[in-house]
Amino acid sequence: MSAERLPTLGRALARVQQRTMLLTLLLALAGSLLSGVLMVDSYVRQNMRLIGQLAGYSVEPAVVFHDQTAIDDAIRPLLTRGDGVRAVVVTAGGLRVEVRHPEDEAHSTIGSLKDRTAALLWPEPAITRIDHAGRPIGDVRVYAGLGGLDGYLMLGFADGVGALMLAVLLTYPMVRRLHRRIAEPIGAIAAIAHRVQTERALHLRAPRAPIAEIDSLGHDFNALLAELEGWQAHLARENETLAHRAMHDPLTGLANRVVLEERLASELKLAAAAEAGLGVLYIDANRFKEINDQFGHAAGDRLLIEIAARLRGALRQSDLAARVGGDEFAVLIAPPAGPDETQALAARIRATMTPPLVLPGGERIAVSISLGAANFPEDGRDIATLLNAADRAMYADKRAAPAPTIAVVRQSYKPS
Amino acid sequence: MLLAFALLFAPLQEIPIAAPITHTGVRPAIAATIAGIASFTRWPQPQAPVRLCLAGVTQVSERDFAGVAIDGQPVAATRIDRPAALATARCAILYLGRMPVPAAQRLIWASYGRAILTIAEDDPECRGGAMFCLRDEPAAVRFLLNLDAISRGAVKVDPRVLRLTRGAH
Repeated sequence: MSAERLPTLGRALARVQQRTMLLTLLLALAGSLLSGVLMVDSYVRQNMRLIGQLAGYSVEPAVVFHDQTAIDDAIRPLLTRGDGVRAVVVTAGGLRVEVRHPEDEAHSTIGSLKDRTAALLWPEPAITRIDHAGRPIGDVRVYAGLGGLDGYLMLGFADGVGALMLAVLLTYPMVRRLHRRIAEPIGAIAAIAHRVQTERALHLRAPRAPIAEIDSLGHDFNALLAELEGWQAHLARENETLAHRAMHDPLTGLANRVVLEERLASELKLAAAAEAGLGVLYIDANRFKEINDQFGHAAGDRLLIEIAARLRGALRQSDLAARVGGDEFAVLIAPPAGPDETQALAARIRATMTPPLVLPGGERIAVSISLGAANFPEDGRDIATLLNAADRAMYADKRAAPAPTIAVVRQSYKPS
Repeated sequence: MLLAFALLFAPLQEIPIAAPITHTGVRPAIAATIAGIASFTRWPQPQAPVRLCLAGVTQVSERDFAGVAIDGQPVAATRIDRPAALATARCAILYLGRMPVPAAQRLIWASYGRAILTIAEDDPECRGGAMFCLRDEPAAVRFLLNLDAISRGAVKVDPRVLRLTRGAH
């Protein structure tokens, strides 16, 4: 993967910082070296001029008297050991005396190397004319020496190295802090993004960052996550609603035939495996059409809702009631349930249907149902057989115990 | 300052100084040395010309100073034989040649208190009281100086001349 070859943010930052530091140091060092060299140059030239002027003054009588030894004696005290400066006195009389500090190693390899380097850097001597009684009698030529320049350069180099080390030492905590302030918040955001991708962990939020842009990024990222989370919740609710609608009757809230048959199929398998029994009830509202015609569809709907509610009240948690037709309901009595349990439940359901339904207008309608039961395995081993058996039993019930000719009606509203 | 210091500890120090003997002979060398010493000497009044008085038997003669200049001023050389002549001849420089010591002494004593530079030609030890004493050596005309006499004199000698001789033995 190409991402593995990309540098990390921390490394990129460190690299930029290292380069910046190196460049800064080099520039500073170059600047200080340059100014140092310029200073040394001006110092050397001034030194040459000064020595020349002093020598020209103090050597004057020695030149007048053509005294070579005196010339030497006059100039030597002006020279500093280690400077490498040479002074050459040339008199009008043709005398030429070269003077250098007695301790300067003119004849050693290093000394001559220094002399040659100095001659390369400052090829021109500082020439001072020697005047006596208004007439020139000779001149002093002062040649520059390398002096402490090599030492200065060494010092400059050591200074640079020391500064570099010190800078590294001092800036390391700063870099660490910068890394903490930039790379870690970004890393946190990246980790969250990764978890969002792999685990759909939309509830995670990026922490606050100490850098404005990263904080803003985290904030926007969090807003995006919140929006995604909202979307996901909305979709989940939508799915739930759709699923509920697909499996339930909107009027009564009971399961529909599809759900009942699926549940019955799975319960049948379980019951067969466990050699347990289960029961099925078929229920039908008596004279439903007449109630619709007489009291209107709203009353019919209320009756259905009431029957559903009472059914739910009579059932156990594991049982399932479903609306399977216009005024038909089916009940699954979960295993283990033999014919006795089925009959007991049927009796309980019949009992709950005894109170009449009071319509908003004050009319009371008798809640009359027909009920048939079937049992697994006694009445059948599959869904169709069982449901048919229950259906037949219900019709038998309808015929055997006909409902009151009409629903009980008692007008109770006051005439205006 | 340096001079005063030197005088305190070496009142009779004699220091040899050299001037080269050119191919033309010793006389121009002596004349040049006299002119050289004079050029580092300051009189209270400017000297124009610089009057050089020769006394005794000298190697140089008046003619040797024709064309010699001291600080741009010509040299007027005359001969004297009495101390009184120092005043009448208005000598700026007294150059003593070979002569009896008492006569030389009288001339030197007479020069005390006057602005006269004294140079002896024939005093190798420089004990006679002259400020400078020439020494005719094979390669050069050297000179010694008598710091005591210089400090006593009314003319000022450039201290560089004194310094110049250090260590030159």
